[in-house]
Amino acid sequence: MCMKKSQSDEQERSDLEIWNLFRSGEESAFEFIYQKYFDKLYNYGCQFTRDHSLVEDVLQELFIELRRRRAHLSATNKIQPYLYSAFRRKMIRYRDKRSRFKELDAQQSFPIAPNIEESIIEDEIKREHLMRLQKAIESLSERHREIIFLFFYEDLTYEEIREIQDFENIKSARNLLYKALKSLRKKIEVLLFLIGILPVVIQGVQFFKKII
Amino acid sequence: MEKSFNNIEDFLSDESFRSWVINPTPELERHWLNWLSKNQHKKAMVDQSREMILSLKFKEFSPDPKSKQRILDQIKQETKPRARTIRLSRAWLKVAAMLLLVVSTAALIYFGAKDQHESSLITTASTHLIRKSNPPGERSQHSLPDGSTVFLNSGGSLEYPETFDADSRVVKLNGEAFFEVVHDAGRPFKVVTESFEVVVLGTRFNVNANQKSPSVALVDGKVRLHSSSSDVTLELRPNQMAVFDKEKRSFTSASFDPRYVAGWKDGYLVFREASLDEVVEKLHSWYGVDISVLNTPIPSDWSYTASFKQESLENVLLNMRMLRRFDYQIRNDSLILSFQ
Repeated sequence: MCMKKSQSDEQERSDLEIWNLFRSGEESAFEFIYQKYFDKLYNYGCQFTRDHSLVEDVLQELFIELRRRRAHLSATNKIQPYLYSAFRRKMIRYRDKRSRFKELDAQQSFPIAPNIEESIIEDEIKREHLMRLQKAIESLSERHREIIFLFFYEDLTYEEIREIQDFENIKSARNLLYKALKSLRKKIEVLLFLIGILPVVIQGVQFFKKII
Repeated sequence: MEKSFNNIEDFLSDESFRSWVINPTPELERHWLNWLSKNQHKKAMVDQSREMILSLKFKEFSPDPKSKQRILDQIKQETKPRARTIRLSRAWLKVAAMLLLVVSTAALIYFGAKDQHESSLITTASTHLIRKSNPPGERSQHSLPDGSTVFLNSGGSLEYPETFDADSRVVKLNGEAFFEVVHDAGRPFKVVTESFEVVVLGTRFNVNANQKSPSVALVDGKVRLHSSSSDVTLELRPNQMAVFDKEKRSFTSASFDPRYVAGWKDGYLVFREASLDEVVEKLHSWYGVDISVLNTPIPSDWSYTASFKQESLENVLLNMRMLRRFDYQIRNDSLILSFQ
């Protein structure tokens, strides 16, 4: 814990410096930010819509605005949530206005990766588990899927998620994730029962081995 | 006080537990293995939670590296340091009180007076030459060394010396600009274009270089036009406009509509019985988009009359669509119009 903490302190310090350099007009700081976050933002944007040229448009506009307004931007010691938050607002607005697939987009946002290894997962139970999990996630609301993505895929803290998804406080972010997970669990209860008994079975086998 | 973990959600929603599973550091590893040794009875729950987190796989998307570079280039192009883009809000009446001069220099290649103009400018320029230019879609405002102001329209470029000579003020223009010239009888102000020169004693004027027929329009004051290629001179009176005929190399004069001719300076995009070609040309230069037209020919009697103030491209197109059905697509910096 302590180490993670000191690492993130360092990260924050350098984020603050980089952001200040960018605000003062330092071109290399802009390049750094662009190169570092473009791919991540692109991936995040493509979660919202399958119209990937729209994602590119939004990214271009976001960075143009940041450059034009750089002297007026507020300070931040966390570049990623700052960018994500601005990008997300724009992305959702553009999607609802311009996406070629707007009807499907909100339903099918934050897709689960098609399971390539499905055929090589010999364990019937595990395969079943993954399919159920996928189905369960797809039936969640977009906001629930998004917070699961931000928390488990992006490895962000509640504070960062609060900023991105525009919650009033950390507690609301925490509650939403908890609710999302609860509802996910309900949907895959049967499955959780199945994988839940696995360790019991294994322990049972080991217990018997010991006796024998 | 130690946090209690009573169900799977408690583990799943814990920041530290989550990070341990997806992004372990030696420190997290130590912490959680230690925790597990003290909480053996929770091991099944921990395993389930780990399994669950590791099964959560979102689809991943990576950008094409070429697009990434292209977008970076466009961002830099769009945000090049330049004079501020004019926020057009002035009342038209104010413009009408000025000397309005519209000079169009788009067809310059046809006039062979290039060398002469360049040399006339270079002799003036005892100091450094400053060059300002706008890509399509951008308008800007500049202050000249004598305090005069120039509004430069999209696609235009302007050259002037860092300091003017003692006896003349010469600027070179390609494209369209509006000048507000500080009065200085001792130093005539001269705009050199590739087809002709405009001499002003001191007032305000507007120059436009994006039309096919070069022209000068005067609202108030007095200017003298001179075409060096044909040695023709014309003096313009207020409310007169001179159009330069490229073939005859001579001027014809007529009255004009100030808003149509120089409304751009105040943010007006004006179409007067415009042909499709004219519409395409104007939209290209106003919004900086490349335009392709599909399913032509469209009827030759098609024409478009409208005036917009600071409207988005999309709104202009929507308005145009009320007149005639067509489809459009705006993607990146390009616009496709398809007529049915």
